[in-house]
Amino acid sequence: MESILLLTLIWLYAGGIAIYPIGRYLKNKTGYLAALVIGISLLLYLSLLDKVGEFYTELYPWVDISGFLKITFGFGVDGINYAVGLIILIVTFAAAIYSVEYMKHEHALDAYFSLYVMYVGGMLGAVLSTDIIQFLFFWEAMLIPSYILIGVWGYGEKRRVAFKYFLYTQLGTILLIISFALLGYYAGGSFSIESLYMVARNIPEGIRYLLIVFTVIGFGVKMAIVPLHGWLPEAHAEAPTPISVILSGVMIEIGLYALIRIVLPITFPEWTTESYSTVLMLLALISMFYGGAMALVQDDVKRLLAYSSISQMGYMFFGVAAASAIALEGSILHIVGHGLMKGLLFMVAGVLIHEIGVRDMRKLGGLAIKMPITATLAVVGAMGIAGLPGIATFISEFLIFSGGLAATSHLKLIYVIFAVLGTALSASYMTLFIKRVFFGPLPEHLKDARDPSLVMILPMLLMALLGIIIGVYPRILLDYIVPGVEYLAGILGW
Amino acid sequence: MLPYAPWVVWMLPIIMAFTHFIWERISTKLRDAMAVLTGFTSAVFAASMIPDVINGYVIIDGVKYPLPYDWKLVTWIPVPGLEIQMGVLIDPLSVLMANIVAWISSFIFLYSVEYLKGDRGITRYWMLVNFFIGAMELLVLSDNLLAMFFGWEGVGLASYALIGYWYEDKKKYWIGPYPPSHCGMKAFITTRIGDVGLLAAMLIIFMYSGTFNFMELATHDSWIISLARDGILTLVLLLIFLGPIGKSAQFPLHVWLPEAMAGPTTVSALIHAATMVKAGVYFVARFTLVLFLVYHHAGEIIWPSLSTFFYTVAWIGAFTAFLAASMGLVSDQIKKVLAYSTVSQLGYMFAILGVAGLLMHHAEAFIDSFLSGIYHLFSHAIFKALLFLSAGAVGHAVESYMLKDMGGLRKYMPKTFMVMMIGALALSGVPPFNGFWSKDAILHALYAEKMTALFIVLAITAVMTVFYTFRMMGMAFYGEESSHVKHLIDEGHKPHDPGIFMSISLWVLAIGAVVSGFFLPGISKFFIPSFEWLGIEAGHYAELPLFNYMTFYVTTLTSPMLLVSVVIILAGVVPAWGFYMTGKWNPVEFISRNPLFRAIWSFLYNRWFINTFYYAVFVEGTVQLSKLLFDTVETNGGGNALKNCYTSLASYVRRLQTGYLRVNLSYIALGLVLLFIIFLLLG
Repeated sequence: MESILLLTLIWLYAGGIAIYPIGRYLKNKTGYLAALVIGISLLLYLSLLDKVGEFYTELYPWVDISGFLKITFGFGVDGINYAVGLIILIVTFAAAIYSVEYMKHEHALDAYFSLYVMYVGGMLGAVLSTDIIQFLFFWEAMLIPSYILIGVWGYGEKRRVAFKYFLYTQLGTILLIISFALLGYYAGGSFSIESLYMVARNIPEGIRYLLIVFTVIGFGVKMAIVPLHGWLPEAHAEAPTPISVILSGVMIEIGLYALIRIVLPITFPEWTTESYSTVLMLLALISMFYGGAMALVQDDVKRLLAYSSISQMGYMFFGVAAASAIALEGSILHIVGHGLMKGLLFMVAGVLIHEIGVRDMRKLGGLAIKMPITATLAVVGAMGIAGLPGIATFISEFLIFSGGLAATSHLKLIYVIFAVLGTALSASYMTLFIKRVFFGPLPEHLKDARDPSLVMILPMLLMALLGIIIGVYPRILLDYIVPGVEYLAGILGW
Repeated sequence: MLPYAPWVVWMLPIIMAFTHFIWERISTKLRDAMAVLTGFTSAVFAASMIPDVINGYVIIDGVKYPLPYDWKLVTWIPVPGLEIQMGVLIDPLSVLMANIVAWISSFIFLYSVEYLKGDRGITRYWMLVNFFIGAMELLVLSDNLLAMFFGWEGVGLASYALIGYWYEDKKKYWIGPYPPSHCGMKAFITTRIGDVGLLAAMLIIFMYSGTFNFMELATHDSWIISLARDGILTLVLLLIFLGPIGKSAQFPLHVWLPEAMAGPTTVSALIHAATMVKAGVYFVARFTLVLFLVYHHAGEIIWPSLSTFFYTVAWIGAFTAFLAASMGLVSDQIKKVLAYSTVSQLGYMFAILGVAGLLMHHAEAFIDSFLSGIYHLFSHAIFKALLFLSAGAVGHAVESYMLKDMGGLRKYMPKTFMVMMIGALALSGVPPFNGFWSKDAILHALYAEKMTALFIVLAITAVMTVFYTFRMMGMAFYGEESSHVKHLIDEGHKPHDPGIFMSISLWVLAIGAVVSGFFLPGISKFFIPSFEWLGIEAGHYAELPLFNYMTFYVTTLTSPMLLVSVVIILAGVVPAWGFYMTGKWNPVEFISRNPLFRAIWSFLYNRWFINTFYYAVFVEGTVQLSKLLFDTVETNGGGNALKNCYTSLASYVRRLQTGYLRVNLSYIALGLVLLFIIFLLLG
């Protein structure tokens, strides 16, 4: 049996640990080593490309108390999590290179990059897990490094913000542990994700409703579904920018991924019913509009982007709640598209902080003339969030909306029209952002602003190009995502 | 047809758009040449499709296909249940639009070389305009709604970026109260609201029909019958019309176009007069053809919705025509007059297309009004581009677009005056310029079909058109030189005619405005493949005057409608002549003497207060509501909800932690008792 995925994970963790001692000698070049570690794991991961179609899995026995508890330790890829894992590695790889320049003047870079790589390991592990207890293990393994990364290298009231982030997420995790324990109880001590949907049939109806509520709230905290979003604006705004890129670009999406992978199979008879589906869609709509409205009135660049993430998570949640295969494909593609575009925009915000030290939009303006490259990339990112054709997010939003209509129920029709209307709100706050930062007269104190060095430009360029390539030719990813979703949809009877 | 012509037409400019920064490194002249060359190459490929349409068939890989031909090349989105193929549609409408776009844009590019000389952002300009024509050609050539939507949003993006081209918002580039970057944003968001409707409608149609393809939509009717049965057909059709309303700046989303004049004049000419704003008209025309065929399959069940839709199209068009023309009467900037005029003329096209839809029962009447709309689209593209480019030449020379900064320019810029006068005469509908034939065809069709109310509105609008056109001409070219012009002359910047590149483009368009009116029956014949595809036998309509050179011109010039036209022209020209060209009467005195006139003037000058109303309600409303939510829910309550939960819970629980030994001991005792009870219960 091949062990490529295990090897990838071990490589990431070993690399993460090794960076700490080596980083003392590399000083502010440590980031290149981190990027190298992630880059090699990306290559390892890409080597699986031709095995995605056949549901490649690796299983290792972990805990086995016969008749009582059986936890396997395994990794598997299908179209769904392969795409999510890929975007995690690409975004973190780009953000690692970006960090080199961005974090240059910070202290303790050895610890920063060590935690950074372990954070990546946690995310990738969570996404590839085949067992819910193993999933929980990695779920926590990505929380702890990110908590430290925000608390130590962040801005503003970083300690308080990090603590808040920790408390919120932990509250969700408690609900998850309860739900997972219930699941294990009904499954006779087994926790394999593969068998969840079989187990679901043995669970009494009342308990299953409880499971829906608990797991949706549990993962909803990570996804920052309004009204569980309290932690997000502060955490994403005050985290060091490369970490914001990861938080907004990929980490919150893992909550959505878990919803698809774990919650859908155990709750599918109810989930698919009109009433449940429409309630969840309404929640998603509230997120979309609430996040968008909040983004419209922010003065802080990173806060605007953070609220925009809440709004965009609403779209992805909408796709899952719509209970249709097409919408689900859209949601997964949106994870990728949003990861690239939001990551790109956070990097733009980072350029502002790094180059001129200003993130208050009231003090910004006219920067397009001084930073033409950054401005162009920012426009690409903004158009991506606004869902303009030619960028990956258009295809994904389009699939989400189409899927929402597949049921041809009148209530869903109204929801979808509102959701489409939400893109006008996205366009409003994004164009307002571009106008306030890059257009208009140049204030006196920004006279010396200029584009950042190539080390910061290249990762941004990578993200922008990938977003456009997927937007123009979505088959690059859809050819993998679609079979995975169709298989899942077959199980769910969609 | 040149090999792969319809593909090259839209792909080449898009690809070339991203190469200009390379050419710039070599030489700026090379970059300019490449950009213009791209336009002309694309135009030649577009023109190469004309013979095929005239023949009525295309030959691809040695196989002969009848028109309209749907040329599919690759599968684009592979999702089961949502498979979308990328294809182009070769039919008269798309080929005509492709040629209008490609040729006019090419000459505007040529003009730009001189017009923008010395500007800092020319590479960006070339990139955006090349990208624009690529996207526009995709829009008109695409065989399905989704790819069309790609082009649709692509041109919107280019428009947004080009309106805000002078993004530094220097005061000299302001047009009206808003800086250019604000204007770009306004255009983007306003059109986006229309696009929301279009996108939603597209999706609903797709869910009922399983296709985005125009040909398949037209040849299947089950989707529209199910929509009608579910009672949402009217809603869907009106949603779809929101897209054209936004893109073509019709009421109630017309507010962005006057502001769009903040971009360079070439952009106004290309995007906001000749091509992009026609996208809405094109789409309604395309959809009318689809609905025509569907209606003849599906029958009366869909007619109530269809007639509501077409009445809406016709009346929105007519009302917008009137509304915009009335604003044009008092506008104080040369480009804004033209912008209002564009909105107004687009209204004509919508009105007549709506009428065409209403006349679906009678093939001949349908063809008559449909073609009148197409004529007007064609001639308007030429004369409005000409007018804008002339206005650009004037603005270039006097360094201002305010009409009060001009005056008496006829002496200094005789050639510009001449070409602009040709444009003005065409816009006013004076024979023999192209605007006359097309506008007359529209009024004639309305009259013949007894659409009296629409006829009256559009005839009154025509009077206003003539008046504001000659008012503009009078204020710019006649009368005394303004103090601004005198100042320029004193400083040695005497206004003068433009140089060679600008002149070539102006003259080509001017000749087009004169000559193209004599080719209109040719356009009718050009559309025969489309009508045959609709199932109308050529024998039915080949006798129509529209299809015959001699009879078309003879009937137009001998019909009683000519009298109406003459009255319209005179009613408009005479006051403009008196007020602005000869200066016999003083317009300011005339208005200010009468309180009623003052009120009307203020009402029109403030654009019927629609713009103000939108800002107050929608812009401020949204922002204030969001602020309120943010201040109340987000910062005070929501953001700290969990923290408050924890702290209040803790404040209760901590009371139990007294630290006294006796209390702790009693807890232990209590716990033991509880355990004991549990064990007893479980047995």
